[in-house]
Amino acid sequence: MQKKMSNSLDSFDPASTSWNMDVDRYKNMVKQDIAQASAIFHYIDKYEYMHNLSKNKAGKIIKRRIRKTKRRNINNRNSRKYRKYRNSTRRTH
Amino acid sequence: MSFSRSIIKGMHISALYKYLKNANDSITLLLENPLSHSIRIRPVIKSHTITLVENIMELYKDLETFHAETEELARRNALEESDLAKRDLKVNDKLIHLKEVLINLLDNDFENEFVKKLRLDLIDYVTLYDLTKHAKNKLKNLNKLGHVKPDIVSQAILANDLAINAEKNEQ
Repeated sequence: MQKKMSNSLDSFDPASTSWNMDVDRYKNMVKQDIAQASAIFHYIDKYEYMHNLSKNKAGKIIKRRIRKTKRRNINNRNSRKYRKYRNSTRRTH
Repeated sequence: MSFSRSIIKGMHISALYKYLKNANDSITLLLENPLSHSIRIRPVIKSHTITLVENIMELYKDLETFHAETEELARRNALEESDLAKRDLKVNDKLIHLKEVLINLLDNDFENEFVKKLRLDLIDYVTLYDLTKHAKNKLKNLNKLGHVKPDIVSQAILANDLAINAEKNEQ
């Protein structure tokens, strides 16, 4: 048992172990940086997408125009119903 | 160019297989129960998302079988070189088509939880080269457009710094 332990202690190299730890630490740091930067770029894409959606001004104007025309048509139809009474109502006033 | 597009475009076929295999579970869940992530009054999942997902699954299965078949035939030397080249071209076409549909999905539905997860999963496949290239291009574009939101520009600068830092640590 002791022999085994001394063998393992002989094979232990502090310099190489610390180097491995450093490599692992740097790898983790690189991974973290990549993940963070990627998340930021996804966020920017989302912002640009939402920004472009709200930019559809032409569509809004067309919708408003359709709404107005629809209202005008309804008003015309309603006024047309009372056209035949126009003269008689004028006479009474 | 969006970040998802720049990553997927540079993806190798094996990486794409791995990515879609991991996404498979969530995709089947979504197709089985399309209202699972949504509020009933205002469904979050758009119909075009479901269509795109269905297309992706179909294209992925088709490409996988075709690719496996080609590799098997090549291993058995059952194909002539010209046929093999033709098959490789076909695989490439199918791959490009699949990538386009996938990019379309990732760039057009930012509210869907499932698509969000797909976008996050993509981070595992980001290479430093793609990241630094995208960071440079993005900053250049934002500066060229004279972006009105300084917050967005500063975020892009931060991401660029992170990419440069990662590059330094990698060396």
